[in-house]
Amino acid sequence: MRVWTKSRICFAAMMALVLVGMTACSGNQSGSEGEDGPIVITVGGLSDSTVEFKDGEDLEDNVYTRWLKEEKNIDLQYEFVVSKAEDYATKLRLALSSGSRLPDVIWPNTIELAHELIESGKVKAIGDDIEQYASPELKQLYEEHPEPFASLSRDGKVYGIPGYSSMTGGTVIWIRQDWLDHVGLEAPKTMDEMERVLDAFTHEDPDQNGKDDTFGLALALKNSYNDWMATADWIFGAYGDNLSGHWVEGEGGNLVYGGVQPSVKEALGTMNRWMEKGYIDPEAGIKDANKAGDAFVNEKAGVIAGPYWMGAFPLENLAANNPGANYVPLPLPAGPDGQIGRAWTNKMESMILFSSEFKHMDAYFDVLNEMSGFSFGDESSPFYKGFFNGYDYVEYDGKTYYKKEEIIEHVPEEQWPKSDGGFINVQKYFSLTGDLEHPYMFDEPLLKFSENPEAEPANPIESTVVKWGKYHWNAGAVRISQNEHTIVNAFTGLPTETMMTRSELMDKLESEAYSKIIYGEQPLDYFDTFVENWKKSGGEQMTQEVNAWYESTRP
Amino acid sequence: MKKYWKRTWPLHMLLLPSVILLIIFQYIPILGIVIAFQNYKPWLGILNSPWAGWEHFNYLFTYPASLQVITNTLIIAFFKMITNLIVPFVFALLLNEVRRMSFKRLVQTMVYLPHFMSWVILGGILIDILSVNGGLVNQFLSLFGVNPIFFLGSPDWFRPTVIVTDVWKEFGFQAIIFLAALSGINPSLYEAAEIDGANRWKQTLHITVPSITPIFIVVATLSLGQIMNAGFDQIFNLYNPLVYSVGDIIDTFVYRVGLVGGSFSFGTAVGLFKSMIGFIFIVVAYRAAYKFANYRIF
Repeated sequence: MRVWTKSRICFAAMMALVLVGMTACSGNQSGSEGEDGPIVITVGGLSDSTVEFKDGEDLEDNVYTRWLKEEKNIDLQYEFVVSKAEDYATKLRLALSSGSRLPDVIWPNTIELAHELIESGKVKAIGDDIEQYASPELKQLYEEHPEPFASLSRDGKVYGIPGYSSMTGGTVIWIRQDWLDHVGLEAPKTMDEMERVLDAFTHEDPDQNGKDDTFGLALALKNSYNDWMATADWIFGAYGDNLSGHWVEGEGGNLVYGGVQPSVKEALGTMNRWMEKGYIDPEAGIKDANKAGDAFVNEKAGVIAGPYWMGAFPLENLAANNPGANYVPLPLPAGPDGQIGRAWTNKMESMILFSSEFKHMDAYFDVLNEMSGFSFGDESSPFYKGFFNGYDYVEYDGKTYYKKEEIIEHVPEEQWPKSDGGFINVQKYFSLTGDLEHPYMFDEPLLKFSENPEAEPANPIESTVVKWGKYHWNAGAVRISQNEHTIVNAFTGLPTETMMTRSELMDKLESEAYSKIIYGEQPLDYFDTFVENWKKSGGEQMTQEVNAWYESTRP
Repeated sequence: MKKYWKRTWPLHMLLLPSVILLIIFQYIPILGIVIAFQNYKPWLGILNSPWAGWEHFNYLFTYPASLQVITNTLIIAFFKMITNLIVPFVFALLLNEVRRMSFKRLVQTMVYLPHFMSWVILGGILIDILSVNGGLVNQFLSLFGVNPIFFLGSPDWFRPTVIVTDVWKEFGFQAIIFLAALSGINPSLYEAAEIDGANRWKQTLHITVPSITPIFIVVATLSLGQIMNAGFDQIFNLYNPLVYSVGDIIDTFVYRVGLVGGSFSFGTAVGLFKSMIGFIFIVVAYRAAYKFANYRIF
């Protein structure tokens, strides 16, 4: 018989406590079943620091969730909330591997993840649901812009709907007008003129500070040749409709990979020449978009290519640092044969898939149909003016206000969306439907206001655009003027077999080869060696698979 | 035997929860290694995923750049290991000589702070400091008439840069173990040596160094197990296409492949490969330590 001394009892008690503690901290909550009242729809939430709420509201309880509850009898429940898109993907993958419930409405952030979801059989084919429940306007929209559906289909069945992009993407050139004035040059329209400008920016002290500390072009080559800012796509586009990351129509109507076409060699030659002469940021190869953009903001570079909204971010920092700086958007310059090209914008900004266990597609489309009223400019829709009064627009005393200055002037402070009079971007928490933008919906308003800044908005969509300000309108107009020069990526299918196993290698070969040529570590003819390598390492196979897909999608 | 248990059972009980945790979270998952031989699909689970045999290992070895990637890993890891042993060791010896405690503590704290910085932030800072156009380091070098060096973009300089910055970040923290060992040396040994007429340097050579040698060997042997980990975090934040040929390591390669295919199996296969190599190195080192230094760790 052991003696139960005090210390022995203590030890035993401690051990027991620890064991109990371990078992208590286990167990996930599974998704709750809905009550019999409201329809329960579960989603995963993505909420980072850029999402703004009114006081007292948060992701799970806000004007949107309340509207869903009161008007549509839908109880929106968040199975999880993450702050980064990659974390969302991880949560989905975890749910897949542990066999636990997927949220009803799923937003895979990459096409590979969508592919996995479809293959797992846990998402629903919704072709019939679209037929049955989508409004006639929505169906027409889908018919007008059918390209994304190719990425969402498999074996003839549709598994999701696209969250369309407003197609406001498209590279424009941003240039320091004051530097141009200092060196006495006009805005460049051709590549030759651009080269002259870059030379002047590099060697002729355009910022007139007596120091040789500037160069021409800010470029970000670390992650891709078509990063979101400081891109090089326009350089490639000036020599041919061929660009890395794009599958374009080649001879005989087949698809070929843009990154290995002869015109790319010419573009690389130009970039090499520019690099040797010092026109390009010597550290372009190690910089990503943000760091490369810093060079322009810090007044080291005079030219940078990027989206039309750069005028606001990050270039506004330049205006803050140096009020005298004058930067303007320009159309892309033409190459030796008058050729202009820029990278494409995917019509599909996000993908919405549905769990195979989701039973309320009718309720979903009900919401989608009704809220789309704004984007369609449907006067009869309750959302014609905007989404929610007091958030993205303010109604007061019989008038509707879309401009911050007018709100500050005419509306009492309690009714301001934010304490500084600015608007709240409610669309960021439309977790069921996304921001409901339609392709090209902002183009006409942008053109209208860039030509006539004093014009009055004629409808709520125009009122939204009026908020954006002069920089956006002008840059937007520049971008729209070159819409026809977009190099379309004709391959929108799910990744092929070879792509899944080999694209990492191919991308690495490509970025290494391009970098080496640009930096002069390899002569220009190395490009041909690279192309051979590319074909042998899986490029030929990939091309065949892509064309097999292309054939299958043609009527 | 019974007496042993009678005496020590409370201690074993105290240890039991940790052992259970270890078994559940470290040993049982070892069974998951089977994923490396399958084409694992999360929704099928381990039992139902199709068998792939050596397919993933094949891919790893027939991948055209695999030799390059493995070589890079080994070279970077090897030099990191050596410098991460010697620098903290020497630093600990030097710091131990400092008499003023406040200064010693200040230095020690300053020097191990970088260990807690993330490479994401450090990467951004380094790109600026090492910049070719007016970065601090190049400005300093230009005082000696040296042309600006493109540290992060030049295949010749990338590896040394990686190694030096890693040592800078870690040496303070690594030195803690050595400093602790140094403080455990019996002071009467030093007094005896001084009486015998040994100066400071001779004392260091004959007392300090031999006393820390066991710790040094332990640390060295354990770090050998990391021979295949050249530091994903750091390399991922610093590398770029210009230096793939010298900087791409096994982990960054697996990261890219995993990103495309979401391939758990491939990642597991490579992890298994790395662990096997690390294991072999540890066993060899352990044997060598015993043979040449007559030293047993366990």
